[in-house]
Amino acid sequence: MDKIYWISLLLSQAGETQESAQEPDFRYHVWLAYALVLVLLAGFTMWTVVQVRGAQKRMEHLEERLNRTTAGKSKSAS
Amino acid sequence: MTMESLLSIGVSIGFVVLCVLLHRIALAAHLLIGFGLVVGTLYLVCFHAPLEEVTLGTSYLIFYFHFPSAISCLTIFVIAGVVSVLQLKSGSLSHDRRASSAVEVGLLACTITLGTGMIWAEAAWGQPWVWHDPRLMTVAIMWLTYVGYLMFRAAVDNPVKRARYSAVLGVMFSINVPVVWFAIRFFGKVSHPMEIEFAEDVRTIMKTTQWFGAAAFFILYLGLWRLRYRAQTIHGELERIGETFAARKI
Amino acid sequence: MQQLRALLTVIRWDVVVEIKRRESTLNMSLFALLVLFIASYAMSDSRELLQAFGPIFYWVAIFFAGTVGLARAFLVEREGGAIHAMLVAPMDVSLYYIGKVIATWIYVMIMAGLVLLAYIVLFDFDDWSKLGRILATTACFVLVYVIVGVLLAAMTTSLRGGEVILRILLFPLMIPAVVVVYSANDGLFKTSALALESPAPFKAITVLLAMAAVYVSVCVVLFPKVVEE
Repeated sequence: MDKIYWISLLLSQAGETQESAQEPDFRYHVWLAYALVLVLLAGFTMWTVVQVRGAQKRMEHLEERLNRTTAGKSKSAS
Repeated sequence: MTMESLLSIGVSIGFVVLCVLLHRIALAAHLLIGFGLVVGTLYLVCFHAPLEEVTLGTSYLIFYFHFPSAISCLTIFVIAGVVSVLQLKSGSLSHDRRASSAVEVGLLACTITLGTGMIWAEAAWGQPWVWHDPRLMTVAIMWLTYVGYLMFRAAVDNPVKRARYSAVLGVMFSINVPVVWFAIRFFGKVSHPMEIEFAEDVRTIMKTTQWFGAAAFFILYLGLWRLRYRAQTIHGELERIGETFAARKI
Repeated sequence: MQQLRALLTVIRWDVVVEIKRRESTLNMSLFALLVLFIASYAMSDSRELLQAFGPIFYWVAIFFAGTVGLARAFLVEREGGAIHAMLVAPMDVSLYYIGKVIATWIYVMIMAGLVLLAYIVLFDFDDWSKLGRILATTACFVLVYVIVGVLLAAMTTSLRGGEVILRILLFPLMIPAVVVVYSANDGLFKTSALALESPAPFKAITVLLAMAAVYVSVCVVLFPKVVEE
């Protein structure tokens, strides 16, 4: 019965049914809250992962540049 | 000591041990487990928890995502305060990174708490915000406080100074949280708390879902803390390389 | 004994500097007066409005104007390089902090006194028997304010956008004190017979002093960490 409740929640849109006419319907609030939580969690994770990847690339680039400059200096010194 | 209290103590200790052990597994696995558990909570809420509560109707379901975030937020800010004290003692930058990444994750949890709380308040009380409730005000003030903490960190360039000052702030802010709570609880005006009534026959499943959700979210937040710590470590190394470049005038 | 003399020297130095420059106190007082002017004008329609909402603006004026003074608390030290002198002086750095707190308290209280005078005039306050209570509560509120504010000012003076950050950090820390003081507003400012008997101001003073004790014990330990190079 619960499964049917939640499936009907997904499929049905606005329109007063017998049960929703009797008491206030908070299903949309519940969905909004859950969606907000999942979006914030997933968003935070993706943002950090993208940041870490970008920073790692920049690190590799800078280390390479540093090595090149150091190698160049030692060549010119010798 | 009843059987129930012994069981809850045992489960709590087991959970703490689990959290410590989780730090040993790979970060990606930790995050996957965390997200999986959160989806598991969603499953429990959809298919096992009772759909309606006595006074709040269907809207009480928001509680199952609101409560875990609130508990995690408080715990993580306490952890941040403890790590700040450790930073002041040792002066190490890694403690500073741990503390500030804990604050960032705690702020995320705080934002989720406030967001779901406001949606729930709109459903249950007809308005998204009410004053004089100790819990609402404490969480809102915590949010403002730690946003200020992050803004402060952004304004300091020197990493050592930033670490020290952030630790000082971390200590002061974690002391501030209980002070705020007691001030509002005993000196604020009349509050209308949101109480959830557990009917006898569904009490167990409600409590189980509630605490399973709390554990699931906490494990996920720990994973996010590790992730933010990694991001901060890499940024720290970038800063260091930048300084090397500046010193050698490259 | 030597430490006490050092403490008094710090307080005297700070107060003398302030008397000579007069910057902080004047700036703070003017700012507070402006707030009260605008509030009083906005509510000039009815005496009831003035008396009902006046107390809020009294505390708001002190609260916001105080940050102007706090932001300048360590300005002289930073400009003159006195921070190094303070560190090498044969004096406990925490004692320097306490001296700074007392000195700042003195001139924020001067500002608060002027605010109270302005409040009496602009908001038509005539219950003279309550003045003692109001001053006592203000003194305790300002004490908590400067204890926290001086530590934050020491951290934020040298930052870019430091003054704004000082305010952002200070306000959440001061909210418990504000809540406590607002709970006593009726007993302090309202003129009804019931309000005269209210024990709320004395309760508020006790709690504010307790808060001050907690904050000062924490800040005294943290201040040396803030100024060490």
